[in-house]
Amino acid sequence: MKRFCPEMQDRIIDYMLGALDAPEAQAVREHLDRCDACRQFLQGLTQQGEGLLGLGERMAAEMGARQDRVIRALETVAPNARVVPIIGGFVRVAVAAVLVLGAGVLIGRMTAPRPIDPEQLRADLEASIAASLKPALQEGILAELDQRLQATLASNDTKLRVEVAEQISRDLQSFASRFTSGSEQLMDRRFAELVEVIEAARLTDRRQVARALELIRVQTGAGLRSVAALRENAATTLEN
Amino acid sequence: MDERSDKDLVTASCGGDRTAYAGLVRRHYAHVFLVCFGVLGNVHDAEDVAQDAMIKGFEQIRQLRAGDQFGGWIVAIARNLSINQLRKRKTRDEALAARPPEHSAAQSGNEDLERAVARLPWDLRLPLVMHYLDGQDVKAVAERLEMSPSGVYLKLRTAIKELQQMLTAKGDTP
Repeated sequence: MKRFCPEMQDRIIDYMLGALDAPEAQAVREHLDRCDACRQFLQGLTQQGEGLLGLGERMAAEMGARQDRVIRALETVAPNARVVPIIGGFVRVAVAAVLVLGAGVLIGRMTAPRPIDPEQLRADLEASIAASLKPALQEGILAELDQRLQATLASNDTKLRVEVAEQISRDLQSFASRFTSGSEQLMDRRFAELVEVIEAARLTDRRQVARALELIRVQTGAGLRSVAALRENAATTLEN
Repeated sequence: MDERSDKDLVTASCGGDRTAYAGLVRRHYAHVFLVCFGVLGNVHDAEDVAQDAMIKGFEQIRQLRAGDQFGGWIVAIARNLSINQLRKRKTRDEALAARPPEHSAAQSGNEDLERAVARLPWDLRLPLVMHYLDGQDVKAVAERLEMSPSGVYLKLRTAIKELQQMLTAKGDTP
């Protein structure tokens, strides 16, 4: 028996799948009209397709029993508690930016022959963060930062500032903890060191900022919002 | 069959309503099972992984933000679990694939076809199963697998050719 035309094989399969446009399909039909071997090839493919459809129907016939087994198995499980992001949008972006940039700096440091110098690392981090935040994040972050500074400036409540600082610290530690749990041991250690360095740097900066804010508050003092309103906002933020 | 929308059933399921989740199982299990079968090529393995996927879906239902996207979400879980399972059983799978096909006069063409489908590489088998066994058109398969329609056509064409060659080599076209 003559074998189908090899050059037509793909086109006949595409024809069966409906993948050809009208002129191409017409050309295939014309070929099939004059070529018995290709017509038989198409017939075999069609039977093969029908066989697959039949296989699907046989599987579908047993689907109900399978579903019953799944539903019975559900009796022993329940939905897990929803994982709520611990840190807010701004802090999350900032922490992620710091950690990602820090990771880049750290990798560079790890490939260098010298041990990690925290002060140099901090200087590199600040330079990297300043350079990288500008194009993509600076505008949004500065706006957010300005808003928060205004809010903080308006507050003479030391407790609020302490709470914010503690929340940021908890966020960083939580993020670092979750990140390090899934990483290799060496990277765990390196990132823990990085987070400690970042945290130390941030605490230092925060104290300086707090002193500056206090100075500004003492010098200006006018147009401040009430402490009660800020406390309410802070409580809502922390709850969220 | 529960008449409520996927979104409503997901919302109720988040509260631990097993009846609501059972409605989602009835509606989506077949797709989940066939995706598992498409990857694994084995009914028994597909049953196990499909069940695991549906249970995992219930456990993690509160992480699904858009309830009306449950179908795509649960199929993605099933696909990932299946691929993980395939990796774990790679050695066994390769042994099965390498084994010469058994054949006897008593075997039907359908059994030969099932065997040939099982021997296809999973990346060819999955679109084939979704298209022929699950009845999804090429556009739907492309969306589910995050491929272009032309990519799906190419996979289907290759799968059909390989099936045809396997079956013809046995001298047995179904």
